Order: sequence, then structure tokens, then C-alpha cells
Amino acid sequence: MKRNIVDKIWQQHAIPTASGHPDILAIDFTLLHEVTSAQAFAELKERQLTVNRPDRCLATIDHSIPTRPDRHRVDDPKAIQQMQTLKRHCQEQGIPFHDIDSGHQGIVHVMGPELGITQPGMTLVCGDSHTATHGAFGALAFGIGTSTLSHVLATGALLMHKPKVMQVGFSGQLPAHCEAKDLILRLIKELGVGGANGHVIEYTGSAIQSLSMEARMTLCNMSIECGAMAGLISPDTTTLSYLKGRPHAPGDSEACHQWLQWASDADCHYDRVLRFDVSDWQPMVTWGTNPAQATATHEWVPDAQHPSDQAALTYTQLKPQQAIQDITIDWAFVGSCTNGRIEDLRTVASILQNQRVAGHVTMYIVPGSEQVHRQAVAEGLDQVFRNAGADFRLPGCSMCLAMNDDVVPAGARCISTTNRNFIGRQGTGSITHLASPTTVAHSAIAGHIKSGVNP
Amino acid sequence: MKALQTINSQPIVWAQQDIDTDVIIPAQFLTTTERSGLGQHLFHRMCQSDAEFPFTQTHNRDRTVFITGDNFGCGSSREHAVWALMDWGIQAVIAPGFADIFSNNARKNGLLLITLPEPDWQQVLEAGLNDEHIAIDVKQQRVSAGHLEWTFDLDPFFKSLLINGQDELAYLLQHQNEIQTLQQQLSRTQFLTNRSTT
Ligand code: SF4
Repeated sequence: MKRNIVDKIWQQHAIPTASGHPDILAIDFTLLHEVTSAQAFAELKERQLTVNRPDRCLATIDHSIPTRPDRHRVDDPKAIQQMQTLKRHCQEQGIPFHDIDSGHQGIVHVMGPELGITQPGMTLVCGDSHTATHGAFGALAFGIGTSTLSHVLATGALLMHKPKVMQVGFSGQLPAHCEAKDLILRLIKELGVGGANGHVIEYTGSAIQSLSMEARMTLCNMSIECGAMAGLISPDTTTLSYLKGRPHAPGDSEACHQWLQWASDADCHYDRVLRFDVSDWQPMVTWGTNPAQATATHEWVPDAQHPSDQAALTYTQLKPQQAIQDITIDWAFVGSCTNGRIEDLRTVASILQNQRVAGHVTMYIVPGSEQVHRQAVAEGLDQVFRNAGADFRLPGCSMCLAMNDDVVPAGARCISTTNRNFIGRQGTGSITHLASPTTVAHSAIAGHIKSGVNP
Repeated sequence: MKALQTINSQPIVWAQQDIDTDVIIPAQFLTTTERSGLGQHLFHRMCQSDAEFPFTQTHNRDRTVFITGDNFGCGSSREHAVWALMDWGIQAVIAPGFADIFSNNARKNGLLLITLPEPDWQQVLEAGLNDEHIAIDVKQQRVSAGHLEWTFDLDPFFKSLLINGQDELAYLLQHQNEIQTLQQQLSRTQFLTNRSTT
């Protein structure tokens, strides 16, 4: 029987129960952060349960932590309590915890992969919808709510019906001026925000094979934005070279060979198949209030097709047929689990080199983890950012959801490498345009939306 | 979890599609370490900005059925969205479709999500807009309003938990031995080294 990667992982991890009942799916690894975990630990305590396998968990703080130099000073007493609660629970239950200044603190989805924790063929969960990021390694990784988190912590498993699997094949090669972010924004536009509900997406094809692991993570990360519970890519030699030498990854070649076995078999079955030739795809940017409301950067704001488009345009203060490149921006943000990795920072630095951020634009560059921060400093990227007038900050989720003090002011317009442009996501009354690191960097310099494509 | 067999209420209607969990409960209220107390922040932004918003109307205050648009609960995985709805008093949400993580979160908490095909949903919506009483029978998987009646699909496993007020964790704990055996098998084939980074 030819099997796709999800079939293979499911077969090895699932215990079938009575017919019609969901399967019991064993979970290999659980990542935790401060925002969604407290109530899960409380539930365990109430039932007098302990964490099943603390060594298969890893926690950090990312959402509410400040990114300014004195980040130990947190002003919101509830945020302090939340972070301390996680720390205490980890101590009580013996869960490894990467605190700030440990050298490994960061956004969970940046931290896990860079430590080599995410490996092909594993099941991995986190109380966070962007857990799909880890699918880049050929892991079945998905976001869960807090109650499910308590189930996994207590039993090492959760209940779930086997999801459907959709193959999204990208043939051709992405043009040189496009990035993984443009690829996924275009796919979400094609599918709509609920287009992949009930499915796991496997990304395949020549355009995927040539992507770096960082780019694959960007792609898988946003799978949730078209409703997919997870997005993944079969492991190949790119996967193996990335994992080599990482702290939690094994060094022997036997392991590596086994990893490749997880890849989908040629001609295996999928529940749904979509194919796109991406050779003429273009840099993308959103104009509305969900990630599917996107268009190519050289185009115009579209006419409203639905009442919800009209509502979005009212919120973003744009008019149909206005040229995208004429939209003036006030803020530029580089960071998040979508685009806060070292490769993203290098891309941005290469554009900001010997340039200045426009006088009316405030630019924040927030590395995804302490490791990314260290690496950026070692390569001198921090100097490039400072010379350009951008603010290079300390790691965390930051302006991706504005739970700390990094907030886009009401009425201000931000071009951002993050994953959600929902109303008020970056601060009450703020307007967000999602784009790639390249487009954000060019826009920051120009002061209006601008991609890397020469006009 | 409380057993849930029948629900009777006039509905609250907000028939917008793609309502995301950031709208249901904004990030600023996620610093809580409790499950309770979130109802007061449900649809915070809408309640603040729109005097006509259904959840601000006093005559809607004791209603427990919510009719809304397709793909409800998309976006962030925050279970706070479910907690906020339930803390407010909502027992059932009726829509043409729900986002996956939101559905999972709802079932863990005993919030009944009723997915109806578009034409049926349109009829229920109409009844809702006319302020008709909605009756839901979980066992029979039936929604009715006036003389109209619709049936809905319900996962048999979830249904039995809901009717009996049981939860999934108890069920999983009963299978702990099988899970452990599988975990041991998996450890043999997996390559997670424990070189500590802490
Ligand atoms: S960076 Fe944004 S999307 Fe990613 S985990 Fe943090 S808040 Fe969520």
C-alpha cells in the first residue's frame, strides 16, 4: 500500500478504539508557552495528576515578554503572574524551561527547530495555532487548545479523528524576487481563510524542493490561515543537513537514513489535490483584515466583492483601484514565528545596508530567539540595522499580537512580516499589511509599500 | 463537564462569516490564568464600538443559543474564545461551519456546535431574526423553531460524552496502559537525544 506521510505517522502513533470513536494519538513532544498553559496545569492539579513525560516537554516565554533592553521589567502585573505561573509549574513537574537570558529563550516555533527538537516522523503539539511551523521537518505538528494540552500533559496522548490530507503541489520555480511568504499568501488568497478546514496540507513539488528549511517553516507556519490543522513537507536532504549537529538531534547517519523513510510514497493517495505552477507568481501583500485579502504588490486595491471586503476596506482606509505601491506606511515590523529567523534577518540586512529607513517610519526588527539574536550580532547585522535607523530589539512575539508593550498606535499603518492582519491584532485601531521580509525592508526605506521588483 | 441534553432559548444572531478568535476575545485578556470571568470581555471590541451589537442588548442577556456565519472561530487556537462564550452563558452555536481548533476546543468544554447545511442554516437564521424560540434536542440531534425542524450531525462519541456529562480526559486515562505500551514502542524507533540545553 502506498502511503502519504500523514498515513505513515498516523499508523505508527494511533491506537484505534471503538468504531466511530476518535483514535488515541500518541504525542512525542509538547512545547509550552505562558499564555495557554496555566489552566492546563490547574486542571492536572485539580485531578491530582502529574505530567506523564516531562522530558518530552519544553517550555519558554515569548508572548508577553518585553523586547526592550530592560526586558526584565514587566509592567503588567497579570503578565508577570502568568510568566511566574509557567515557571513554577515547570519546576514542580520537572519540565525543562528556557528562561530569558538562558541563551535559548525565544518564540516556541523558532526555538524548537533550531535546537533540533523537531524531527521527521514525530507528532508534536503546542497550545498555539502556528505549531504547523514544525511541519517543515516532516513532523505532524498542530495547535491545540488548553484542555487538549492538559490531556497530552497527563496522558501523552489526545483523541482525534484522522484528518484528511490535501496535497498542494507547487510546480515550476518561484521567481527570484519572490519568497516563501509570497507563496503562502497567494495560496491563502486562492483557498480562502477556511478553504483547507478539516485537512492537513502536504506541500510538494519542485518549488518546495528548492526552498531552505527557514523558508519551509515560513510556508508551513501560515497553513492555519487557510484553515488547515497542519501543513507539512516530506523530509529530504535539505531537512537532514539542517538537523545535523543541532543539540537535540542525533548525530549518526542511521537516524538520518530512517528519517527519509517518512517521506510520502510516490503515487500515494490524497483526499484532495491542488496544483499550481508558481513560475509567474509575484510578491504579495494584504490589503484587508484577513490573510486571504491579498494581492500582488504591483497591483491595485481590488473592488469589494462581498460586504466583508467593504468592511475590511473601511477599516484599512483604502479605496478600490488605489495603487498598492502608493500606500504610505508609518511602521515596519520584521519578526514573529513566520519571519523572525536568521535567514529573514539576513535578507532584511542586505536591503538596509547603506540605506536609511524613511524619516516618518518606525521600524522594529525583533529576532525570533536569543540564538537568532546572537547570530545576528555575530554577523554584524545589528550594526546594519542601527545604521539604517531601525530598532533591533530582544526576542519575543512582540508586535505580532501586541501582548507586550510593542504596539502599533491606533490609526497607524504597519507593514509586517507577521501572519495575521486581523482588526486590532497589532494594537487597537492599528492597520496591518502582511508581506515578506524583502517587501517590508524595501517599504521601510521608501516609506510606502514597495516590493523588491524594479519598477 | 455538565450533562447537556436539551436547550431552549431565543437566539442571539450575528450572521457574519469568518469571525476569528481575536474578535471573540482580544489578546489583551489572555494574561489571565483562570478559565472563568472571560464572559465580560466577549466580543470586546464590538461591544465597545457598536451600541447596536447583539451582545450588548439587555434583552439578549439570558439567551443561550447563538446563530452565526460560516467558519466561526478561525485564527488563533486560544481556548479563551470558548471559555468566554460559555462564561457569558452560550450553550450552543449554530453556523454553516466552524474552524477546526475551535471545534476541538468547544467539545472539550461541552459547548455544542451545530453545523447546518447552508439552506437549513438560512431558515434557522430567518427564524432567529424573527426572534422565534429555538429548541435543541441533543439526543435526537434536532433543532426546531416553530413548526420547522432540522437535524444535525453529531459525532457519536462526543454525543455520548455530552449527554452523560463525561469528559475526554477520563476516557484517555482509562486507556493509559495501551498508551504507555505504544510510547515504549515509539521510543525504540525514535531518535530524540537528551543532550540537555537547560
Ligand atoms: S510570533 Fe505571533 S503567531 Fe507566532 S507564536 Fe508568537 S504570537 Fe503566535
